[in-house]
Amino acid sequence: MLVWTLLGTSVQCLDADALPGSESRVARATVRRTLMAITGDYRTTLLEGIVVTAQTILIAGLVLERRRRRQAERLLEQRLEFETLVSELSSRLSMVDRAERPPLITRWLQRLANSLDVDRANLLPATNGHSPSAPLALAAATPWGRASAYPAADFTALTELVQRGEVVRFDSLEVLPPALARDRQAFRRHGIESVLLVPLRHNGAVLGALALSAGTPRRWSTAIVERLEFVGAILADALDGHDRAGSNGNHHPVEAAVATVRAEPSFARFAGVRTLGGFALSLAHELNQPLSAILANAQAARRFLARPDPPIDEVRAIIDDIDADDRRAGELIHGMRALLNHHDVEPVELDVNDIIRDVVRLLHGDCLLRRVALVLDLEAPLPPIRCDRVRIEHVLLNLVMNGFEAMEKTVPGDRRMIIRTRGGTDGCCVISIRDAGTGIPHDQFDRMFEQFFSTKPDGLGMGLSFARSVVEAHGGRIWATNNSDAGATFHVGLPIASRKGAA
Amino acid sequence: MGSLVFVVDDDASVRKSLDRLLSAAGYRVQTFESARAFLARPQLPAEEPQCLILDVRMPGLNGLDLQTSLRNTGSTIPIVFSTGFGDVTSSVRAMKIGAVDFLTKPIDEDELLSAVQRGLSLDAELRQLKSLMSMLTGRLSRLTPRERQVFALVVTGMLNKQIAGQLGTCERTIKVHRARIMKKMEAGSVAELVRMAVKLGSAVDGQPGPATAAGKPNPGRLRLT
Repeated sequence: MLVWTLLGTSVQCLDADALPGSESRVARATVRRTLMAITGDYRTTLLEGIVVTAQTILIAGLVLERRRRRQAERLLEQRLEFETLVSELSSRLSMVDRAERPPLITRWLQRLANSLDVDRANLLPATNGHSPSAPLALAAATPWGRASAYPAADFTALTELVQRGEVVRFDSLEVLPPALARDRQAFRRHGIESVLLVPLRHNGAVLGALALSAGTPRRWSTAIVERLEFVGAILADALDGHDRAGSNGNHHPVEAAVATVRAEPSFARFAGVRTLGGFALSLAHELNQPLSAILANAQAARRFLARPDPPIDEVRAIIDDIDADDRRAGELIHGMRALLNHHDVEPVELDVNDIIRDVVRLLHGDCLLRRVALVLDLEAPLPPIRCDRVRIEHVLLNLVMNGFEAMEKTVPGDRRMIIRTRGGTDGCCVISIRDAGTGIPHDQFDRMFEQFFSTKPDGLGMGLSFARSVVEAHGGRIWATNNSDAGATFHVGLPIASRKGAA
Repeated sequence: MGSLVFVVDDDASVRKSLDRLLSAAGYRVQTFESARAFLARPQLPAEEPQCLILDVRMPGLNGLDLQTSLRNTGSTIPIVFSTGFGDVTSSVRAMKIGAVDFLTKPIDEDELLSAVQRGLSLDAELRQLKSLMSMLTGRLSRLTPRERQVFALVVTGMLNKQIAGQLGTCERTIKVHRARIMKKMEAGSVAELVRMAVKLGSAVDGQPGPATAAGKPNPGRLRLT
């Protein structure tokens, strides 16, 4: 635009000079006017240009400044996070027992990996003794506690470098020199693209190495190297002390640490919770609460009774509480026993309606106390099912009590529970227990039958998981739905006894 | 009524039963269902010794977290831990930060009461030490900077002449300072003054004197052990 205007001016000037006499004078005046107009235009345009450019520069500057500040903030944040991590590690390492260190270090390394945004942070042991000439086995415990062996033979050249106490750092496999071709292949096989290895040095010996690795190319800044060396020093110090304190002089400290990490696979612990062993542990723990309350209550009662004027009302209240806690403990044990005695009870052919009538008889008092209207809608006659009466009763009791508890916040007049039985559909008898309580939040449908999942503050999270295991042991199914108006309905489907079974 | 015992346990029956047992044993008791509730309690300046019975395993902030948080905020209340099962690692950790005892549930009455008693006497001691410290620091604050300097040197056992030489003044001045220090610190003898200096620790040397040039301000020498 600007260029075009300037060109136009020069063309008009040439034309004016070429014109003779008065015509040329008029023409000159015209040209002058035109020129003035044009330069005016030009000035405006120039001004606009300057303003726009200045604005652009200003905005760009602001954006850059903001980005710079954000980056500085992020760096500071990372630094703070790292400092916190390190101070935590060093303080806790000095506090925990020897046996606790490896899991602590493993957990801590995982957090370090997260904080530095790398895929893995590993502690790699030297295989034998403190001797610097010993090959460094890259047998690594991943942050997840699973051990994955990186045989030292695959990484001979690198191993040698680390043994000599050198920091190994490469941003991508491409930059590895040809001498490390074998190591490169090995890394590629393990899906590692960039590595930072810092030797753990203590008293002149290389105890092992601390490694950060990523599956993608990545630049290891000097800051990260420095930090890792710092951590390495802390760990080397701790592990050396750890070794000296240990009785087994043959085991290398880092190796011992890794070995212990291997012995504690974290997933197995979760799996263990799902077994009966997990139940037993939870039971032992939960039993402790009523038992300690009973004991303390009894001791208090003894003290009160020893007074010259014993507070009888207080003692009576204590006895009531002992009674209640004892029942609570009993219930826990009962639930446990029912679950453990899987093979003790011979299933018998029964009418589901009979079981429900029994349960309702047991619940009569509760209904009155809780002001719940219990409605039975039983289909008769029902085909018989084969089941363990006590356990199915227990399941139904559990479900009904759950329903009662869910209705605690419901207005007494609306506390209504309907127990319904229907037979015949797809070879099952279905029992439905419908309450008018709070209903089930959508995010809990998947987890509610899991062990130890509970929304109640004092819940064990065993009721529904117990119900599911019993029902499934009978070849049945348990599920829940939310009602269209209020509350939820739990359904238990139990298979109808085949004629053969009845014979 | 005398000592006050706090009970923090998430289990209502346990809370109530401990409340009864401790009341029956003659203590005043306050119970809390969570660590947060305990931290949020209205804190009145209490004269009588206090002690805290704390459950380790609680939802939300657990017992060990509460212990750390209390210590970080400078509370020295003695803590007796109770736990559902013998948790060695937590007990080690708790004892290291100064727990009075670590009891396994169900708790034996004698063990509980003896631990509470130990906690309360520890608290009483700490309170005494605290008031002594505040008294001494109060007296110390009355000294002029010069007197503090002289104080720091007197308690190292230096003679007036030596102090005078060190501070570049005459012996007579030091003598006057010394008398004033004894009066302001309410000390009957140099030996007593030395004991005070030991209790006050490095707070004595307001100015870095050559004998105790460590110079790091150490506001409290109050320790739980």
